[in-house]
Amino acid sequence: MSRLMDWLLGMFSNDLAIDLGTANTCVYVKGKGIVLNEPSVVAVKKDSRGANKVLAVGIEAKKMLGRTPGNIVAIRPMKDGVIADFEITEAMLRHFISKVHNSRRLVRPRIVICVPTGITQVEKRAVKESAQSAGAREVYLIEEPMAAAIGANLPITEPTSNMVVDIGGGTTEVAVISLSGVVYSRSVRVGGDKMDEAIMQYVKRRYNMLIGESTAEQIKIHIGSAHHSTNAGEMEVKGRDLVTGIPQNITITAEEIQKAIAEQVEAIVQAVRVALEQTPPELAADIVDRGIVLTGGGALLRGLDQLLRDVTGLPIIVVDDPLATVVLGSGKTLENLDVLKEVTID
Amino acid sequence: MDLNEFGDKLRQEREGQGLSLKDVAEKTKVSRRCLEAIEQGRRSDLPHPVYAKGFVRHYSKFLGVDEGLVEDFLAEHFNVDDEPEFHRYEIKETIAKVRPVAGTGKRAPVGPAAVLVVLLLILCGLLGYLYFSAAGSQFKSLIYTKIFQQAGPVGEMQTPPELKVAPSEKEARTSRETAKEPLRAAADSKEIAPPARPGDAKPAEPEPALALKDILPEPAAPAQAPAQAMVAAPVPVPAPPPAKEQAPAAPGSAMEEKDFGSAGPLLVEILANQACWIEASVDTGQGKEFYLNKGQYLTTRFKDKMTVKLGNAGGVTVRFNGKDVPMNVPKSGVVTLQFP
Repeated sequence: MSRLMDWLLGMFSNDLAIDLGTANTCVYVKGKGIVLNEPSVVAVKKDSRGANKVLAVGIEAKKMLGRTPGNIVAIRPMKDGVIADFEITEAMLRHFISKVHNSRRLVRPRIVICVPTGITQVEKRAVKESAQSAGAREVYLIEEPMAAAIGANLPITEPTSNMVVDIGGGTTEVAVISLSGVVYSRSVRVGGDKMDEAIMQYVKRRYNMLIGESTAEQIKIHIGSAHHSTNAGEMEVKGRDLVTGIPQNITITAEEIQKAIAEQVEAIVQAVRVALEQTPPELAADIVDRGIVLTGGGALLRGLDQLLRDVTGLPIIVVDDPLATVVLGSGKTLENLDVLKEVTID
Repeated sequence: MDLNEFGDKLRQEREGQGLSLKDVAEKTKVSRRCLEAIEQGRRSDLPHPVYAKGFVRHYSKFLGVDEGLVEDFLAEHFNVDDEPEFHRYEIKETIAKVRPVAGTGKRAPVGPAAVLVVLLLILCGLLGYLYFSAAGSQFKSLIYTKIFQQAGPVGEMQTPPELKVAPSEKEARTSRETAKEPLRAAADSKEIAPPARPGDAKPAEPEPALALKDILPEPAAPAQAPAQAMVAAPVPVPAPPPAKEQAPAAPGSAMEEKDFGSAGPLLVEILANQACWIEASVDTGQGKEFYLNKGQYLTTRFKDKMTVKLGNAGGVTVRFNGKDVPMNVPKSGVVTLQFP
């Protein structure tokens, strides 16, 4: 009976594709496109009885990040591409689903969710169950590089290889895809977040100044660079002096930031290199011709394509809208679920 | 701007900067074949549009061509958004080849309107069913009445259940007795010899037969009763004492019972809408009891007088010579009617 009800109500529900990322969560509604792109942050307030109450989700919550009084915590429930806090993730998903579904509580959508490759069964279950308890009727999981490849319109069904590097907030996924399947994939838990952390550490060491996560991210976005050819500009950074304890201003240059994040960038390059080593020769030959496709927010890091080009000697292509590629791919999967079901994993 | 024009523009720009294709290929890492294809506007030699777009963009950027121009050109010629159709088609093909029996084509999408129609149909069906099942009981009794009226003898089958019960009880009793007798006989015969058993048992047989014969008239009489005719004006009259006196006065013999309400010019019909107990006495005969269940019918014929006592007067319809007898009595009221 409940199945029948689900089927009936399913006709009125909008199926969703969600890129549940460490840094940002994108929601794609079937037939509408991307309707929501918000940071994966939840602000939780602890009341006097110790019960948690969700105060804000998304952009509002991100504004609170690092600026909260004792009883409020702004949490990023995803870490390294997987769920770190089950309940908060569920609350966040519920919020996003109800936001795009306009308070139609009775109907439960089908949801496609992207997950990093190589996550454990436990982590998969966590994602599935949190989506189900957030009101999903059916949950399909799709691997991020596959979603990225579909989102980038790569000819994944052809018997030629497509190499995708998806640099997200928490993880970097490298995958070689051919004939709708993953030939090789590797996920390293290095991404934008680790770069932010590195920048924080660098500023702390070099200037004895503490800066917050958001500030570090802003620095990365504005002057971050991975290759010397793209080092340009400088930025005024505000933070607290460790010695005097007084808030202050410093000016930081692109070269410094390039140095600061070099370790993380190197980890990404290394992952690509390893992937190339592991690729079967026929497919490697295709990659020489076509090159590597960069997606994900990390692809926006200046000079990363140039660095990879130098290191690998292959053509590097950055897709048009790297931030939305994965969710677009998931959305495309959703639109053709009957056809593309085989790319989902269980 | 078409492919050739754009390719020429790039080539001129490259030659203007004094770069060879080889230099460019080294710097951009795009293969020379692809660069040539871009410059000569040969799209067939370029890889999938997503890659080709990246190559063109990168090459133009490397040469320092105006970005706006490049983007316009790319949007015009390498519009990847046109591809999904092709993309989807490809996927379908693959699946069709790999899974021969998986699905029989694409199902037509069922819209909410179709569901609504189906729901309405189900609702109509349900209502119809409810209506007919409610009307069904009336319907049945009507048919029943018809059959009954058409064929008198058939109606005999519709004897009130109690009439059947009585004989069956008697039968049971007699059969028990007969069962005992062979046992006794068997007990007796034990002392004599085993082959004597059947012989002993034989005399027992006629007895049940006789008993059955005794019983037979009884079920026969009530069976005929419904089929009997009566004639009289339906007048609700308090139970006439003479009738009652008459009944005991004439101790109902088997013969009289057999004839109960079987002949006469007058006819009384009683249709039970609810279960009803009835006591009827015809002419000067003894009173007889019936128990009608819902839908059952009692027809009685008599010559000049009949008294009917209804236990549940509200639950029956009485007709005398085909005319309804008005009965304004509350449900389950006891009423005595006298005909004529």
